[in-house]
Amino acid sequence: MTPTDPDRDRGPGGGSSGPPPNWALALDLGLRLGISVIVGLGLGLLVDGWLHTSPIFTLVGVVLGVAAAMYTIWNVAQQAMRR
Amino acid sequence: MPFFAAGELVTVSIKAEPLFSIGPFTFTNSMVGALLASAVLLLVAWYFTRRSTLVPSRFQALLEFPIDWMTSIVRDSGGSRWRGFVTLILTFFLLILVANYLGLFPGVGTIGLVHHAETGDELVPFVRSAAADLNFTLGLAIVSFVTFIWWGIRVNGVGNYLKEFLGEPRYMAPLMAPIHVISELSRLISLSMRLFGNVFAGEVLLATMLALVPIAVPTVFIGLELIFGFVQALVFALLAMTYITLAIAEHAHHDEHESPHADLAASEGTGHTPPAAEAA
Repeated sequence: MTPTDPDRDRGPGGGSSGPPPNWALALDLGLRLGISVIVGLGLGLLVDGWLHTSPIFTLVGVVLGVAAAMYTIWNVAQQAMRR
Repeated sequence: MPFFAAGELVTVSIKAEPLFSIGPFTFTNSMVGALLASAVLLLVAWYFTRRSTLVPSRFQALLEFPIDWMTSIVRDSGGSRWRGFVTLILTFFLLILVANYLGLFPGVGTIGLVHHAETGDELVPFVRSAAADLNFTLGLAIVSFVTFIWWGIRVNGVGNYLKEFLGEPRYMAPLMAPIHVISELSRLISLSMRLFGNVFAGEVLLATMLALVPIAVPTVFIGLELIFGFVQALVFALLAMTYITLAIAEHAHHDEHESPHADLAASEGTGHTPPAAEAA
């Protein structure tokens, strides 16, 4: 795929290109932290059920879910600081 | 089955109730809600394109207001590529807003057929608020999910997108790849669950109030639902926009570190094009 750039347009009046609203991200953060752990747990349970290796992948899934939650916080904080 | 409309029979099932089937395709009451919302938007769009004038009438100004308002938010916050996704964000906002407000109309969720179940009589409404069905919200979230991944790939190319997905340094890829997968999936689930949870909770609250005190009191909660319906439509649209903007910005930032034109990229914010793209 060749990256194209047809939409680089600031629109009528040259509208300002401000950052996305922080409150929307903050609102999203709380839910995503919990969901990351649940998704990790779910994927772990799924793999364990498939390979009959319980509870190895369940534990790995939970750890990865917690790591993903931390990564999400880190990512959002980085975005906020970049602004 | 007799037609029925009564407070004490109104229960809100977490699953949309099937109304009829055409072959293997089952038609549910939340689909009716979604189709009605789409029909309302199409009618308004038809009116807007046929009857609009340069100097707007009061009705036209009323129709233009949410479109102008949302467009200005996307223009101000969506980065330099805002034109590429403003229509999608507007569609999300208007469709969810109309679907949520349709759910508050008299008869929606309260008029239907009485179904004689083993546990007692249950009302199966003809129309149900579309966003009170997880299938609808998940569908919208999947569209948003595909869009922000597509924008990430479009801005940076497949190779660079995958490179960032696998993380740096390269030997960390077995750890970073599943963390990225979980993180991306959590976006999809949080988008769909938030909208579904809020609208479904509103439906349950209204049904409970209708059963407890059928006169006057539900009006207060319908008023609250008007606010919640608007806020939820706005939150979904803004989050979809934020995800797309971040998908573009993340890659632009990633390129800043690798590109010798970092200063130029920083000055252009999210509107940076990778050198490879410029050469192409």
